[in-house]
Amino acid sequence: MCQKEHNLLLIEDSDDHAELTEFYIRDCCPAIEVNRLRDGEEAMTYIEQTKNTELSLPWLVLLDLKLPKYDGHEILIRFKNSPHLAKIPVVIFSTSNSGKDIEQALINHANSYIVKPMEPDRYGEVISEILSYWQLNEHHFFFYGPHQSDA
Amino acid sequence: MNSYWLKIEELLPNLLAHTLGLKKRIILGYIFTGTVAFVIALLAWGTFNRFSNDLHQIVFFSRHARENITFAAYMAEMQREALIYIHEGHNSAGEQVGVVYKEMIGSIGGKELPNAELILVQARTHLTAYYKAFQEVQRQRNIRERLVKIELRVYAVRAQQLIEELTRQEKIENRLECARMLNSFLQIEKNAYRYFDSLDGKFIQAASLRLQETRFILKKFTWSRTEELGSVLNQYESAFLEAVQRTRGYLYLVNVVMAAEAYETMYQAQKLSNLMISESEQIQGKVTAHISSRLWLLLLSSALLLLCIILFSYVITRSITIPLKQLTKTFKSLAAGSSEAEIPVYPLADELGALTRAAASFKAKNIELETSKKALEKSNDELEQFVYTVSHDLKSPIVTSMGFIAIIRKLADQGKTEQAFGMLDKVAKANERMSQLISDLLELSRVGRIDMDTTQLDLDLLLADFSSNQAERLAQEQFSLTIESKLPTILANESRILQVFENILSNALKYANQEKNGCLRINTYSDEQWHHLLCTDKGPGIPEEFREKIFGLFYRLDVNIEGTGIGLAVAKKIMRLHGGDIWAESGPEAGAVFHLIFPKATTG
Amino acid sequence: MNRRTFLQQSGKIGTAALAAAAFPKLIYAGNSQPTLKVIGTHVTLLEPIRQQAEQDLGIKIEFYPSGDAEVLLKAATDPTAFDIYEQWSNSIKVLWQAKTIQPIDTHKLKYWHEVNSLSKLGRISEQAKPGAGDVPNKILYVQQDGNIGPHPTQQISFLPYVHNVDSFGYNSAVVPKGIPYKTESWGWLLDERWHGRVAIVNSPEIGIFDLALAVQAKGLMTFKDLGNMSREEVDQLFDIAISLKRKGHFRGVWTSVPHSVQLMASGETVIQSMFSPGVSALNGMGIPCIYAAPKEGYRAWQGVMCLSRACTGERQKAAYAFMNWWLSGWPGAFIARQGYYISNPERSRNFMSKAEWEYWYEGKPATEPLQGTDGKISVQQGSIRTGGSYIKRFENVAVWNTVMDTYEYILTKWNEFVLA
Repeated sequence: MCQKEHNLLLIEDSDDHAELTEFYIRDCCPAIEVNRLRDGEEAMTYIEQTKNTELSLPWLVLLDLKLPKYDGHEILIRFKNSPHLAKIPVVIFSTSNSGKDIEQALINHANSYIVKPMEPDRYGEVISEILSYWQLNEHHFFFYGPHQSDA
Repeated sequence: MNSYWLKIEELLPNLLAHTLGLKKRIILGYIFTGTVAFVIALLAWGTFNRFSNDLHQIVFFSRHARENITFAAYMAEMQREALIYIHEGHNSAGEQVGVVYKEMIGSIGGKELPNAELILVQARTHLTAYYKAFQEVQRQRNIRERLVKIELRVYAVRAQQLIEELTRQEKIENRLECARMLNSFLQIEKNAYRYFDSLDGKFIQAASLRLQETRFILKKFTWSRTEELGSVLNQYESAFLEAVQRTRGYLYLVNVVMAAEAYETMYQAQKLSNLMISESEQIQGKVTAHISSRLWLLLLSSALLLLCIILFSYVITRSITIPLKQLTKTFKSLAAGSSEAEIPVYPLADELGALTRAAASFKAKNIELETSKKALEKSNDELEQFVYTVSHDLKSPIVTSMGFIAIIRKLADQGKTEQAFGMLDKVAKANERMSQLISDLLELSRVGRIDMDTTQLDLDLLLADFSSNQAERLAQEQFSLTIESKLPTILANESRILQVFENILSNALKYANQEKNGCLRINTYSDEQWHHLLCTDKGPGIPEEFREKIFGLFYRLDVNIEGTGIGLAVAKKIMRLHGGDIWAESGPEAGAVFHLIFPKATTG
Repeated sequence: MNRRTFLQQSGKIGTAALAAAAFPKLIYAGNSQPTLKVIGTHVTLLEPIRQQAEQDLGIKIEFYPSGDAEVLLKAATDPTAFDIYEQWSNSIKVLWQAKTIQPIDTHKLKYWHEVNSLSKLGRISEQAKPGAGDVPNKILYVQQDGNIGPHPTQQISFLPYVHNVDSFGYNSAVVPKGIPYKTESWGWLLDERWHGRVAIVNSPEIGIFDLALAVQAKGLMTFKDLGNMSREEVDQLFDIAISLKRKGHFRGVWTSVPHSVQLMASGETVIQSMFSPGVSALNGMGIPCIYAAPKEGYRAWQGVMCLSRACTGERQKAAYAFMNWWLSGWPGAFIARQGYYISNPERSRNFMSKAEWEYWYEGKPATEPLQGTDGKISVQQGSIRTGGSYIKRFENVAVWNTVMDTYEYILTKWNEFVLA
């Protein structure tokens, strides 16, 4: 489905959910490299690190909300406040379908909010949709991005 | 507010409102108004009463003044009658004088006047003198009548007889002299009667001259009865002269004495009536002045009293309305649900006092309501939090198992059966976890729901038991539990409290014993209100930002450590149910401290 | 009373001893002490005089004082009603005409020679004006024809004793004070200013002269003979007087001295006919009543003492004794203190202090406060009798009180005047 190599940042405390996500990502876009962070503290550390180093930044961030230590909302705020990271699309991927969470996430500039599906086949579809959608975004980026206007 | 209360116009109503009950105030108002009306009526009554008395006196005086004026007419009538009597000799006229006199002496009125007494006495004196003089006149006139009508006639006849007798006896040549004598004598008579008729004094002299002449002629005769004739002549003369004097006497009495007495009587009567008129006018003037002054007074006092009523009713009204307004404001505020509405100060036990007390209890209710509302809000929040957490955390294993089921199917379809079976374990684990979560939730809800029997709980004993029960586990985990001080006795549910310590211990075992040889020390202290229990471990401690979060439902600091994250939430709930609390602190070293407080009151 | 009893008793015991000092008492045989009946007016019939006379004479004396007219009528109609009649010279004509009095023998009068010329000749001095009316001497002597006249004889119709001059009195608090004999005038009685506050004495034979003198002074009419008015003059006089009275000029007439005092004291009058005791009484009450000395002259009067025709024998003797006593000095001094004069003043002088004599008779200022007959001070030190000395006053007599021929006519007119 997708050919491009991409770097995806997954922030997910549940090993099971991480496994599922990674499985479906591999299944759908094997070229995508997943970098997983296990809790809020790790995510914060990562964000701090991006300031100093010339790390390759992720193409997309999947962020769970319920995390040990710092929760997803806190990380989202920190993330979107980082000048290096702000442009990177952050998709909130959480079991919570609470209106409060959705509203707060959008306020904090989450680019998308996807509830983890409880139907057996939907998980893969959702991951596939997320990825394909944000790959579409690249075209978008292509047409309007200032760097590749001459390509 | 204070300056408002200090305003003078409020001072009086407030004073009244703080001293006299509502009913009493209203009754006082009515009594005051009634009294004022009565005073006004009394003033008016006094004025008109006085006026009526004065009017009575005026009428009285004017009647007497009129009587005294008619008095003058009586007097003139009397004098007229007296003169008629004198000149005409009518006895009826004389009697009339007496009749009029008696009427008059009885009718002089006005002795009620203070300064009339002297005048009255004088008028009476003159009137009496007048009548006395008249009586004397009557006497004198009667004497004169007798003298003139009887004696003079008798003597004249006798003298004439004697002269005629002498004439008859005398010789012819002497008869001429006799005739002269007779003529002379007749001249006496003629002059005498002329005098009585005309009251001209010259006839007395003429009569006297004729008498002298008669006597002179008589002397020429030598007759045996000359002497007799001479004596008759003398008798005649003396009767005549007496009659003359009597005439002059009563003339004097009538014209001088009676006239003067009559005039004085009339003058005094006139004076009396003038006095009465002036007195009456003075009274009238006084009445007029009095009435007008009284009316002014009445008007003025009425105005003043009305002003008093207005002021008084204003004060009374204000004394009612000020507290009422305040109460209204208070009730409005209370009705809006305020628990901070000010209750006005009202010390009396009247209707307003009852209202004030009602407001106070209203306020108490509001405060209670506010408190319970806050509690409700809090529990709602908690519930919401609970529901959110539950939905999130319960969905998580379903998502896991559904995800893996899909993978399993996929692998199965691809024939990767081995791999697929390997995944089944994941699904089972997720379901196990689900089951664990549900039982934890049940446990949690039980903590709140099931009634707690509380007893006096000696924490020393409890923890000693706990320690010995856990001895095996502790040994296994190479963990030590130390109870460092004498613990208090509290009023609590034994199993719940035990659960709290169990959870704290489990927590410590999980987080603070990863390198073994961990320990949990429990010590205690008390302040005025609380028993404090500090459970300190030597673990890595809890960063400050997570110290509150850890008490959240299904919150775990480390996903790698087993457990659902309900233990501390349960502990918190139990502590709250006992009126106490639990929170995390940083320990003196690296470790974490769980700080428990129990209210002292429950120790009993 | 005790004194009198004592003197009577002492009189019986030692008559001779007392005779030298006191008036010689009449001596009667046995117990037949006569009682002398005296009728007259309050002017001279005074209790101190009666007591003094009884004491001096040793006889019983009864005084019957009453009003002028009453006394005169009594005397003129009943000679048995009295032994001695004391009144004014204006009653002499009446009494003499009524023949109820008898002539008095001058040789029986002890002090007749001392009686001054005023009574005997009608003038006090050569300078004196001849007064109108019945000047005392004109009616004093019993003439040959039995009538009374001015020619001196041995018989007189009355004993002249008390006398005085009268005028009008005015309240100087209201009426401006005048100068005696200069500005004071009878005309004041008719002054418009005193309208309603004028009174006249209620006596036709006296009051008529006050009116006549006033009318004449005002120039309203003149009289041919003031002392003997014709009917026409009487008519004219009363026309004026009555019209004035109708206009309210006169408060009225007064009938007695107390009445005159009361009128002026009450303020009802400010000027009026006046008798000397009235003036004294008013001054005693603090009312500044001045007894005027009118420039037209006074109206004079002569007190007369008459002997009843019925008085004979021992009573007559007693009556003569009483008359002599009256001229013996003490009574003259007594009545001098009331402002009256006696016809033989020099004999009374011995019974008066120098100050009294100078004040009452000589018209000099009182050198000391003088007592009246009641013992009270009636004359303050330094005061002077209005009109001057006895002689000065009697030199200014306009008219003598007189009963005129038109008497009865005047009476009727008087009635009209009084009641107008």
